Amino acid sequence: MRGRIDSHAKYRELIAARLDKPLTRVELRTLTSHLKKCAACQTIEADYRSQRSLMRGLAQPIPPRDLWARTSAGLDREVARDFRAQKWRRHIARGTRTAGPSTAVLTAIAAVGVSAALALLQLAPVVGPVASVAAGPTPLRVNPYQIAMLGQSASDVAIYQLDVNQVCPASGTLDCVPNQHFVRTPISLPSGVRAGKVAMNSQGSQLAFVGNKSGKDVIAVVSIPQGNKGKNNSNDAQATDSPDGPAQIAAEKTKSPNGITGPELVATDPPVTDDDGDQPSAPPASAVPGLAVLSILDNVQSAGAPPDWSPSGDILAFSAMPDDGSTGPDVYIWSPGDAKATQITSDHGSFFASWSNNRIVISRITAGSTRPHDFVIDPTSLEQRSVSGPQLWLPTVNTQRTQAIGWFGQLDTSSLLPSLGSGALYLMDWASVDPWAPSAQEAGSTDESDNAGADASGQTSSPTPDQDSGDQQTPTPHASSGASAAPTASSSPSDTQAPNASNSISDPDSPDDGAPAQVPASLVPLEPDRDPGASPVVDWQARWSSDGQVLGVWIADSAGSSWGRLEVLAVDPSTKRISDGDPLLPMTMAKRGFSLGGSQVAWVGPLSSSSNDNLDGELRIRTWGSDGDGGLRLQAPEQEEVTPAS
Amino acid sequence: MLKARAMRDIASARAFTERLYAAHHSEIYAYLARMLRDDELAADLTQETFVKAYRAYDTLEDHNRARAWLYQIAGRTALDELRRRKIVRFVPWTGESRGTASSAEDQVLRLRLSADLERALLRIPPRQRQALLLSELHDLSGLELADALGVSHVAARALLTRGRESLRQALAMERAKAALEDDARERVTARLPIDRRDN
Repeated sequence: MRGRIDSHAKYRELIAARLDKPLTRVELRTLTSHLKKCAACQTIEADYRSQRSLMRGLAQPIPPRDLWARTSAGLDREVARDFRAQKWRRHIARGTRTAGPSTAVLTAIAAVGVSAALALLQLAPVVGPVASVAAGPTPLRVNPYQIAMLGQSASDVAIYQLDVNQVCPASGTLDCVPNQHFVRTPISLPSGVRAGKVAMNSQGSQLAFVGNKSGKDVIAVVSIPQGNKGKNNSNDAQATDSPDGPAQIAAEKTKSPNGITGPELVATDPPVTDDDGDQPSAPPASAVPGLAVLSILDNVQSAGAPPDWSPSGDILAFSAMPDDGSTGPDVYIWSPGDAKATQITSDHGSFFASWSNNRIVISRITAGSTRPHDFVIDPTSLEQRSVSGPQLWLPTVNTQRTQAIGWFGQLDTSSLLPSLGSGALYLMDWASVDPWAPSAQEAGSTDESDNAGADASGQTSSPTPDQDSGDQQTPTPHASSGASAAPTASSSPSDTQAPNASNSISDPDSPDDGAPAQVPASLVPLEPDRDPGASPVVDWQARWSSDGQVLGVWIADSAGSSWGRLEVLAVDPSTKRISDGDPLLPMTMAKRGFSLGGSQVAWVGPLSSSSNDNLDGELRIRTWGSDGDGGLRLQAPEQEEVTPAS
Repeated sequence: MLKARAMRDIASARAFTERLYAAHHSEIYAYLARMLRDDELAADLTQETFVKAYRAYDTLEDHNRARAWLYQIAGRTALDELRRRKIVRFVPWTGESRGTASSAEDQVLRLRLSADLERALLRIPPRQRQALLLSELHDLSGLELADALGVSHVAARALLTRGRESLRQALAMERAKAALEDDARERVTARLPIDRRDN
């Protein structure tokens, strides 16, 4: 049965159409005329407008946080499939028969969360292709280098080391290199402590990290036995208690039961922090056996840039503040053999920024100031000199001391933890402002007296760590003698709050009136297209390659986020600008923490397979050089299968 | 040479898809979540949409129309899923609401109206729902709408017009149903002793 004809249908169509586009004059006249005499159609028009309003008020569904990881994994699978199909077609075209395109390289692993802890050693350029493996793209050979990372799960913490000497062509699947196995060395981290911000020295002999338990940080160091490089990690070191104390760090070698020389062991258990007390205590019985961890500063909150080793690898520098917030942060140093870290500033407003070759760059916020002032301290003499020119927040200086990258913008220092507001990353000519540059030796000033809390006299006359490491009373944040200034700020790229700025970082020559400052012309924006106000950088990490010609920058998705975007750029040493052309590594999703060399970068990216939900990510390596780009994708091993080091 | 070009194609397709993802993943996810009323399924299909976009990279002739092209892929993916499942699960919306802050009473009313609308949206044919969502919530222009729906401009307009009317009728039904339920609830409440009534 047919329904009766709706004489109002054409008017409803016009009413609906009028919401989307202007009607013609004739249509409009027709509709207007009809609406004047038709109450039903007036109601319909009101309904349409109402439903449009309702629809536009619907809640906005928010994508899940792991959507990119899932999508990226799907894309990776497609790319791999395409590549295999392409390879198969080539084989067919050549009339050859080949085995299936299985390129399985990685052993499945479970329950090991990669904690964004990487270190890259012995970086060297790509040197050419090598013979093909049975299937998959032909690997590229690279001069051997070592990657180290810290893996941890609820019940297990270990250092993973891997010697890399082959990578895959970057355009294909990244798992063409078989038999990649990590050397796994467990460490005896007290249960409940989560490690992050890991730094390994250039020799690969010391690994420092920031541990956290119940909101309190501990700065800790692990001596990595050089003897275990390449050893089958079925001979994993076991912790041994020793009454000899921390002075014997890395001094004792042990033999495993089977007679194979095992890792050198730290001869002391790490002091740990009580949940509710200030005194260190022995690790709980549930501590994981392995290399012992030496706490060099506890009951603190890490601040400033992550701990980092000097280029020579013999001094660790970092900054921290008492966990109760009684004072602001100071800078500390530690060398192998020291029992505890040595506090080298006492103004309670000093933030470790980076190393300028063998000297320490700090950003300091003095009492009452809203702007930082950068200094460079000689860790031996403890003489400090003021940096002139534009003041970047936490500048990262290259080893050549020619360039730096840091943050410039509005900083709210009204609370103990300052907030980064509108701002972005900028490059600057460090050579022109380096107070320790030869040309600046005469002109360079030591710490001015008006740098509140700088404690110039105490620092310049205090013994060096080497001179006094045996019996020096190590200052602690809780017993900070000589504290002369109230804490003014504590901030690190990873400890910032949501953007909420009211004051500014600016040229120190301009009055500190809290007004936003113009970006000095001498600063070169890293991302010219970024609007620092609409899309501020609030959390980042930057590294230079040892030759200063490669810059890696990781920018967090949001303040404190463990995921962000990593990009690696070539720097033209003559112009001191980012080189034209494609980046060495286009912006890619990465977890906090990456290592960078002159021709390699390693980072933790999203899993390309969702088969194991326990994994936090997978290790990825990208290489570049005259023979083309390469890459490698690895998962941390579960099985203790070890490839001997070359 | 052929090998090098093919490799570049793979890399280009991957890079292009990543750029598309960065620019559009939120709206594609929102579109699918509204179409399917299932956040988890929407996430799966968003992933599938971008994988399909990678596969179909060579078919995109005009990169300026990539957004509509992506919506078309997402829409077809959603329709395929709806046809396959023949069911639609009801999952409450999550996430932030648009608009400015309003009073508690307004918010309650808004929630009620939103719930009615969401149920009504589910009652209308999927193609009309697509047209309405794309036009009203995703701000696709006439040409984009036609591209995304894979039909002519005229057909897209017709779908939109029919969608509005279908939604109006479905919304009226939902409200009538809600009014009946309210009425029944009030009658039950009226029979309760005063001290047992909800305040």
